[in-house]
Amino acid sequence: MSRPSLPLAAAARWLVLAFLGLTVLIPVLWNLSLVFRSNEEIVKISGLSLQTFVPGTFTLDNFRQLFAAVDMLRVFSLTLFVCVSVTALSLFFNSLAAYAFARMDFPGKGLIFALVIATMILPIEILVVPLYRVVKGLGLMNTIASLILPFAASGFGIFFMRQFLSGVPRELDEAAVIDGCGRAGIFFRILLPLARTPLVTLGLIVFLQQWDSFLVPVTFISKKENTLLQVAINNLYAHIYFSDTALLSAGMVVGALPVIALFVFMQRYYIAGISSSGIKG
Amino acid sequence: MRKPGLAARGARRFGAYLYLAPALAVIGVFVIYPTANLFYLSLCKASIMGRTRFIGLGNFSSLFSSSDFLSSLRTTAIFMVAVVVIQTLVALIVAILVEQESRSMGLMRTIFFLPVVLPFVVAAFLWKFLYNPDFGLFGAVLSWLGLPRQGFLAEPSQALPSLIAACIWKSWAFFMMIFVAGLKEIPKELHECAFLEGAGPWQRARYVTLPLLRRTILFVVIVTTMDSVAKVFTPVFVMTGGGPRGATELLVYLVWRTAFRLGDIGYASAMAVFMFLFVLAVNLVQLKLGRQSDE
Amino acid sequence: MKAFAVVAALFGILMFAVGAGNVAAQDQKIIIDTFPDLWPQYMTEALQKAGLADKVEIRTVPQNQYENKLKLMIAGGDVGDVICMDAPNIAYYANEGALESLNAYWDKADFADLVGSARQAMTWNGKIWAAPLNESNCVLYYNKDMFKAAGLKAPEKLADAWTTDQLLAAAVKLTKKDATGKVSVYGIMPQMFSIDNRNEGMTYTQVLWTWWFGADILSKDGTAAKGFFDSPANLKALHFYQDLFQKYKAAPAMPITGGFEAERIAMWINGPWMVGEWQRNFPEFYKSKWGAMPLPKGLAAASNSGSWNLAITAQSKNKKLAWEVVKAITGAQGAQIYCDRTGNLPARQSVLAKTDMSKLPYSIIKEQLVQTARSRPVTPNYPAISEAAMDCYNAIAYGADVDKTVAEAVAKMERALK
Repeated sequence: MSRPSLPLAAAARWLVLAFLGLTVLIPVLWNLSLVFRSNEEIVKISGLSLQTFVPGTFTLDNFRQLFAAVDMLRVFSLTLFVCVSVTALSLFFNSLAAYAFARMDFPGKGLIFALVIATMILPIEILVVPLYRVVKGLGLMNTIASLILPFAASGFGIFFMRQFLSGVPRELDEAAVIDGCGRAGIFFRILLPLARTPLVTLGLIVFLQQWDSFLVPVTFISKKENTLLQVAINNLYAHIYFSDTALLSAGMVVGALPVIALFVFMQRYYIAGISSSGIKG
Repeated sequence: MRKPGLAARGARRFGAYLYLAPALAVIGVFVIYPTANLFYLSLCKASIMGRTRFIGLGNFSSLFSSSDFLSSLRTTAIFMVAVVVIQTLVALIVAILVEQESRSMGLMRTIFFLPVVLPFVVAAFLWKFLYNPDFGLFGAVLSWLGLPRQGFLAEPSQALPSLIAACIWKSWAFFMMIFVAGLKEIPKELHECAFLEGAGPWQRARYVTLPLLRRTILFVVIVTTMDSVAKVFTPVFVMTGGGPRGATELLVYLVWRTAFRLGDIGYASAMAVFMFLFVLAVNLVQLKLGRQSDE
Repeated sequence: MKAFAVVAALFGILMFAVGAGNVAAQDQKIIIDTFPDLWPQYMTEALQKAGLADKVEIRTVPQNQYENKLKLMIAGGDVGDVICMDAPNIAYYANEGALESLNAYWDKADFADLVGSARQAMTWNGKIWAAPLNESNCVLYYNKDMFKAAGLKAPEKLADAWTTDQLLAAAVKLTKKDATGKVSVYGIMPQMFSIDNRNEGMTYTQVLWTWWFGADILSKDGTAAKGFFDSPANLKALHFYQDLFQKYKAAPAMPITGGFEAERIAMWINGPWMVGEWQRNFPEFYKSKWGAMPLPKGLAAASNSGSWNLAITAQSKNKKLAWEVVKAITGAQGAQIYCDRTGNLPARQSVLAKTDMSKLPYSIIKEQLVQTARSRPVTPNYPAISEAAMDCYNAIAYGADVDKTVAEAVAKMERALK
């Protein structure tokens, strides 16, 4: 396939790719243009012209209003706190469990591992009703904990880390034992440092998943002070007779920018994660 | 190295549980117990406010006469088939087109990937605006072409296709990446061989690429099937709320609405049990097919 | 040891997360749960008058999530002391044990100050459960210029109210098509929101059509839908409603943002709060464009009623103070402020007496409220009944088969009533 193909085929290929690229970029750019317009101007968009994509009167007022309407600092730091906590906790808990599955023998190992793997197939959407009862039973309704604890470990994370740890040669462990390392020592000093790439990859997947999380926070949280970013954006669209498109667009930009930035910087790890999950899955 | 004594060996054997404990506690409390509870709740008349009474199979028998549930099943099936077929095809074809390692292809892949990293709430509103009958971009394009504006999400016959398009736009590039990774695993020599033997691009795709990509295709189809049934709450919630006329009421949303708007969590659980069984079946199929393709 | 630092940090996060929920300050403020469109600022104003403002915290969630958030807050044990609820939901929450009965709190003479429909709406199962913020009643708004152009004259008195057939004729006459045959002006918006909505405002206005044809959603005692929602009279009503959209194309099946104000819809069934809405957001329209007339009468004259109310939750730890707060907002003085600012219809006779009822739409409402107002079905299963009803009206407006859709709706209702 790396051979030079017919010019016609090459042209056709570029045509398809350019078309698809435009289907991605045009909607995004058009939406970006809404951010800098007033609602009065937005509702006047009707035909196709330069005005469809370029604001007539450029305004930053929507951002001003957004920051007046929502305590963005709080929403942002809270969201960040939840995402970081879930990421940190789940990386730690999952690696610990993966270590046990990869390196230790214990009664019931096969059964427990099968059970853990089986949970991988269960999406949160199916379990949200009984999960609500558990959260309620633990007295965690409306708390930050209800957004963190359920995700502090996952079958997928354990599986992902175990895949890596099983591939690390056991000779390394044995050498460490000779150096006087116990089990914990092997884990913390030998395996975890080696696992940097999979940890970053898994961490990135978990972080982005949490940033995107909507079902659980919109269901379990009603207190304004515990509102996460995605829910806060959705809540901008809540008037009875009138929808503030301009304000919401500003919210969308604020909601999307951090993850886009994160992706641009960490692309390599993320793609690596997808690739490995695809091939081995 | 000294041979450890019996007691120490026992401690070593059971010490493993210490490493497992945190993860197992989390998974036990927040996944396994709720799963068991789901089945129990599906047999109860249960209010969201807490009153729960065991009623046996009552919820299930009324499910099959429920017009909402049956129409939601139909909608979910259409949505699933459309997304699986279209998205997988687009992802596969584009993957073959961009597989080549070059700077421009890398850039194309990054552009395609943009919707995947957008938060789903943001992507859903983005499309809600695009579809807006008054000021949306699609309406503007239609009227520029001299065609009548359409209702899109507000029109029962157009809402589901509109939702499908938005969801595919959001996710297809994710699966493209998986295909790209799968393609990279195919040894280059095979293509060279086929080329030298005079096989055209179509024949090479048919006899070299596709057979060797079978496992990846199976994986993508399974994951897409599951995602198109389960991971669609956000777009429905944000874009349509299940309407108009129930045209976009996918099962996940019907479960949520029954539980948290109408407060009938027993009935909602019975519906969720169906989703559970479906997910289970899909995974069993994957296991079976996965084994076959290994042989 | 780095490892221990990591573990300690993680443990810290965990504890903080668990703890964060329980740190909530234990001050004695009375918390009111409501949503922004219900004008919390005027509740505050009433509280300021009563000197209670600093003892109250008003929390809001978005309007379209309010009903499900309220259920979750009650279930989760962290609902406020006072909650706002739509009149027909009172029975539901009372039946779930979420409300404190107000029998011991209401002063009998003060309760008698409420208009009859409000007194009835506050009562379920022989007990009083709430206090009304305001009462409500809809009228038929119309565009004056369009009426003039079509040579139509709107009735001013309830006695002269149109029949449903007259309304249909007017709606058809007011509907305008452009050169391409596309409808440019719709004759009527025959319910509060466009038909892709799921909002109590839909049932609230759509049920009028059922009533005008002499039918009802449920039996009088609220225990049966079969034989009522699928009665021949209601089927006739629903066919009539469907024809407005499908046969005559006189009502929009597509949402038109601000359609009435943009003069793309000629008539609209809605409440008196719209006048305030126009005054704030559509000043030009407010000045000269709109008129109001009585709701039409069919076999039966009927107008709607029931609005938002305050109730004290069973979970409240300070019910005495909560009642003081409720009284400050809904009492004669508070209600005067609230209704005056929001343009809403007072639920108290004493406040009504002080309200200028000579202007539109109040000159009409004054008559309707006494002579034709009815309440939505009273049943502890109201949320499911209402959603089944509005889904049915909406589907029929979109052109669904009437008999089949009604049968499905009745099945849903019967299941909920069981």
